[in-house]
Amino acid sequence: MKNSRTFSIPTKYVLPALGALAVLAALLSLCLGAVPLAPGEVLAALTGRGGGPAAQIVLYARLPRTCGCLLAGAALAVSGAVIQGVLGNPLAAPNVIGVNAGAGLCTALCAALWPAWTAAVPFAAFLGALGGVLLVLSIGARTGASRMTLVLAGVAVSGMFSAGIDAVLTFFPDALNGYTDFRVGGVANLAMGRVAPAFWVALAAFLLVLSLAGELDVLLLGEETARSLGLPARRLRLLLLALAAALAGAAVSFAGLLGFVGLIAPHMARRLAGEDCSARLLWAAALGGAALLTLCDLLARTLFAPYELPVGVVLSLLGGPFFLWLLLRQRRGRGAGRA
Amino acid sequence: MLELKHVSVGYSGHVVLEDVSLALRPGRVLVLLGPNGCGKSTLLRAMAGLLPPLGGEILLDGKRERHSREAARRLAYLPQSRAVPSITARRMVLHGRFPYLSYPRRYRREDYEAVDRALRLADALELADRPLPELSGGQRQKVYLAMALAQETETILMDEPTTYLDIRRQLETLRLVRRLAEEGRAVALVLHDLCLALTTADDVAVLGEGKLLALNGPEEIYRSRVLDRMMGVRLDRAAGPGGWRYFCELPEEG
Repeated sequence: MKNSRTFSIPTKYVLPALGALAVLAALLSLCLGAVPLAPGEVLAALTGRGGGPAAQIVLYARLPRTCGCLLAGAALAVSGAVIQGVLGNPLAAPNVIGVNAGAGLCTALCAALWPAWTAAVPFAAFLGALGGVLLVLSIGARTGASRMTLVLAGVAVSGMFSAGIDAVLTFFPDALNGYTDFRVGGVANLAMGRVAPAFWVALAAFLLVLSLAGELDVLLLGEETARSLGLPARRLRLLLLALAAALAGAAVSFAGLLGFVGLIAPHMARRLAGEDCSARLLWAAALGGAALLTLCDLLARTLFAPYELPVGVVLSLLGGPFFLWLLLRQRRGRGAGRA
Repeated sequence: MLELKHVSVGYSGHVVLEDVSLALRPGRVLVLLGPNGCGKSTLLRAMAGLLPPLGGEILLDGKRERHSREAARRLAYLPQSRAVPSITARRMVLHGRFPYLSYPRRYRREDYEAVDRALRLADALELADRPLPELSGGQRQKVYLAMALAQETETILMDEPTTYLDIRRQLETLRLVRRLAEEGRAVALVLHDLCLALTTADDVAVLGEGKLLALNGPEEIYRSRVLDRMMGVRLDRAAGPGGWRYFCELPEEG
């Protein structure tokens, strides 16, 4: 992560700028679509003064979808920032180390076995995400705990969980009917009722992560130094990973297996906000992730209108090359960053 | 004060050093010497509370409890290998104040003052606003030293604080070590350079053959020839302007 700050906006403007970008993305997402609406109409619908088809579109299609994008983007980005920091591994992200796939499997199981309990889905997803990350970590630890083995273990475990999701869907073909494009991630036809429980889980986890930003700062100095400063490093690492799992699980519980937000957004946040202060980095990741996913979703449904791509497809098109670029840069810079 | 009573250290049941008893006293510099792999760094990590001893007791001010911020306000440890996060030097040193904060962490004015003092003491003030990855090995070393100083502890443990430094910086670092001791702190160092070690130390602990071979002042250690035997060299000395200057040679064949 050398020379990570190539363009320099003064850091105090980064958060307001990202915040403004997220708001702008949300407004665009509410206005644009198969039926373009004027900002005035959207505002009227939101404040309850509008009526007719415009209000219907805003309140029951675009608002849940926009809220879903903002929430999933922010949650996955913060989850990725925490995972990358705690593991000291820039290749790690919720979709890489088995968190998303674990959450997906439990979401599918929960939806198949107890279809009526939609509010329980985020918690099931959290358990799956936690199971995924712990499994990958323990495999990684047994096989040398290098950056590459962790990623490889993540790929293997994700593959197994994906097979699990397919198996569930074979026996319960209707389990994920409420989701469009669960496998690549999508936010079309989202209802507020599914976003709301996930919102509370994600909010609680985000506030806890923020309150531990000082600990995260110290953890980045390496386990030895952190422990010599009186930080219970191992316990804290597990706690932070559990919170990251809760964040990713919340996102997966309504948006499906969105990849790459949790990888790209933290890297962008690092470039913009620097790594001096984890609290600032976490905010930047949250705002940037929210803006990124919302803009990608906007692209997904306007690029080939009236046809819609799942947002996960757009993300993978952007994210795949980015991940490869990171991987190549890692290989070249192996061993750098430690002295 | 840090006290070791019949301590054994090692990894996963494999004992590296056995029955080590020593104490770090305020105002004195203890240097640990021994050949590669003799367990110097392992012992220092155990003293820092990072590695549980396999036997015996390690007491910090009479207490066994470690792993706490309370202990980190009494003892600072400078490890041999250090991460290089992408943060500024000042931010790095500020983390040395971590043991003084309560949850949630907010750094206070007195913490920033302690950081400035530590940076000045370590001669790293002009590096304060530069990102750590841009600094040279020697400059990073100074920043790490400043971080340990910002912890403001009575006891400081340093694992090879002079690696990566050119000779002038090495001498300056060791002068700083002497100054810390004169301010009343207890300092323990692992050093590779016998000659610097013997001129810096008040007490020398020679480790080898799985035990503490000798613990004495530099003069007695020199006379006992235990270092010659353990390190496989011929240690000699000559009078310099400020006291004895030590040097090593390969022993003559046969």
